[in-house]
Amino acid sequence: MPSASSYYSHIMIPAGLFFGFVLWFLVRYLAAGIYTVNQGERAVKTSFGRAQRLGGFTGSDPMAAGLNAEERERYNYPQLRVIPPGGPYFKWPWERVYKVPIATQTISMAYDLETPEANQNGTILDAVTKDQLNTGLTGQIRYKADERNLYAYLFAVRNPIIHVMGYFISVLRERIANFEAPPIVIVEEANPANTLSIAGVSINDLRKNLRDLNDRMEQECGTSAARYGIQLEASLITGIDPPPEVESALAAINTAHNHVSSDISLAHASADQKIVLSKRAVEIETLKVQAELEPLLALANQLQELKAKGKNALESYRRSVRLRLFDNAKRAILEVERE
Amino acid sequence: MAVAFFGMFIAMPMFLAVLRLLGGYVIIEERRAHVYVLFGKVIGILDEPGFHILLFKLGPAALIVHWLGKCHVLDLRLDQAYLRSQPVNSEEGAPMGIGIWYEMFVSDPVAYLFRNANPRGSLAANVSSATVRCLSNMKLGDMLENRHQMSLTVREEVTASSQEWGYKLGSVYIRKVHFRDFEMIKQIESKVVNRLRQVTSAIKQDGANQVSVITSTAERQAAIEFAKAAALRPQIVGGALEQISQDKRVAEVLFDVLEVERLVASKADITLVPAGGEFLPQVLAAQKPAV
Repeated sequence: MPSASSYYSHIMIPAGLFFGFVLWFLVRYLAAGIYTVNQGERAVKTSFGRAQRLGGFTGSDPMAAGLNAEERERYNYPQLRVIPPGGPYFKWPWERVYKVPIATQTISMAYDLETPEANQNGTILDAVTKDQLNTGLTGQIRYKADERNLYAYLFAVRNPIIHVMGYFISVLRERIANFEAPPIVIVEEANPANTLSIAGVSINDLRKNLRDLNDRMEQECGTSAARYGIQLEASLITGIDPPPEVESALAAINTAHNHVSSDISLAHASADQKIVLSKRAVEIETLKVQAELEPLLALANQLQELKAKGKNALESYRRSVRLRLFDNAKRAILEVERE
Repeated sequence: MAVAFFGMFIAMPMFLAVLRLLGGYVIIEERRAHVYVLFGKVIGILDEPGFHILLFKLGPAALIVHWLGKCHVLDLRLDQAYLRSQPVNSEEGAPMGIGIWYEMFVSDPVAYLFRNANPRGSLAANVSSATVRCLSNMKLGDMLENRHQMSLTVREEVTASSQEWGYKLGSVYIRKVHFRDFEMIKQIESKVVNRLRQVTSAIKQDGANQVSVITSTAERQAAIEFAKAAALRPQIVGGALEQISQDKRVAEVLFDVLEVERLVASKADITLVPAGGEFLPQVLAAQKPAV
């Protein structure tokens, strides 16, 4: 009969090893492989370091339409299988899950990720306008990872947001340096507000056309998703701050503009009053003359009717009227026939 | 059981590490390249992501490459650098600074590793040199506005040499063009301020002109209306009389009646004399003073 220690070494140890292995296997290969993806995330899985591909490339995707042929070749990345939010999902130990937040992020456009002390500690971005004036810009950019090009975001670009910021700032400064207000269609009267644009003061053009500038920036940066896997959602330039003296001169323009507008309004009011007055004068004169004529016309009508009544009626009436002369006569000389 | 459970967490990684060290297999991550060097020679480059059995790729050398050779792991991802304020002068002599931002990535791992000890630094020096050489003596206006063209010029200049070192240049952007001379910045500010003042004057003058035009136009229109008012009487009265004169007899009687009415209304002394008689001339003749 085997001893207790022999029984333990022959049966229990191998069984313990076996169950230990099974337990390890279950924990390592099943429990540790379960994961979920949050609502604001997308996930990409790699197997032995290789991302799971769909077969297509971003170069042929509509997002790359803004790139030229050379760029399309350079930024041609494989399209990946994206795991949507939800779960639980399962992965093997040789697989790795990369989770990407796709919520919109905001960053100051003056912030330099590599050199935070640049641009006045990331507060104001310098740019030179078309009339060579140094001006400061403040604002934000909003961006998010583009799930159509997660390969670029996760694997192909070392630090996508630095690339996007560099690209954005380059485009922005170029746009500021070239910015001209759209041509103004002069309709009838010259508008004093347009005088500035005609004079080509680009700092003012920029301020007046901020929306246009933001829109153009969004268009220009539309290829960022194809390039770096980051989609620029909005460019919001909130402030364009020229040097203080220029600001003061701009304020003087504004004051002059308001003053002129006020003068013009007053002149319009006075002119309208004068024109209305003259039109009323015509009406008054017309009514006056008509009032004067009415008795005449009425009498003429009465005489007309009288004439229609009989052959001698008119003559008789005239004689009767003439009789009134005798009422007022001081003297009357009558010829009488001699007998 | 517990020993086996916890032992597996140590034993399995150790087993896999030994397997890798012996060249059993290798895992290449995305955008990484493994360059295997044995006895001073490159015996293989693996840049395709995934699982590879090294023995199939490198042959028997795979078994000793990790012991006697070396594996260089390179990052092939797109990288970038920003060269701030490279000093150039415009054609007019203005001292300008140009910030160049460029992208690059390793395209030839072997050239990158062995042809240049510091390819990144050399690339930066080349970009800087090309910027100063190509962009100096450009017109100031062009320098500020034609940035795309400047980027292309620098890229063309640098691409060839960077490729020799295994680096491929991506996009190149002129990120900043600025004035380096403070006095010049102040002068430009004054120029702009003066122009703004001119614009202020122009606005005022334009406003005065507009007010004048509005006032004059209104006066003209008013004068036309007043003239119309003055000319209305003959038109209306004449029209009415023309209507009345259609019947001559009625018109005669009308005016006779009106004459009588006015005569009566005037309270004048009236002397009636017979019509067609000789009496009135005789009376008048009799009143003539004697000569």
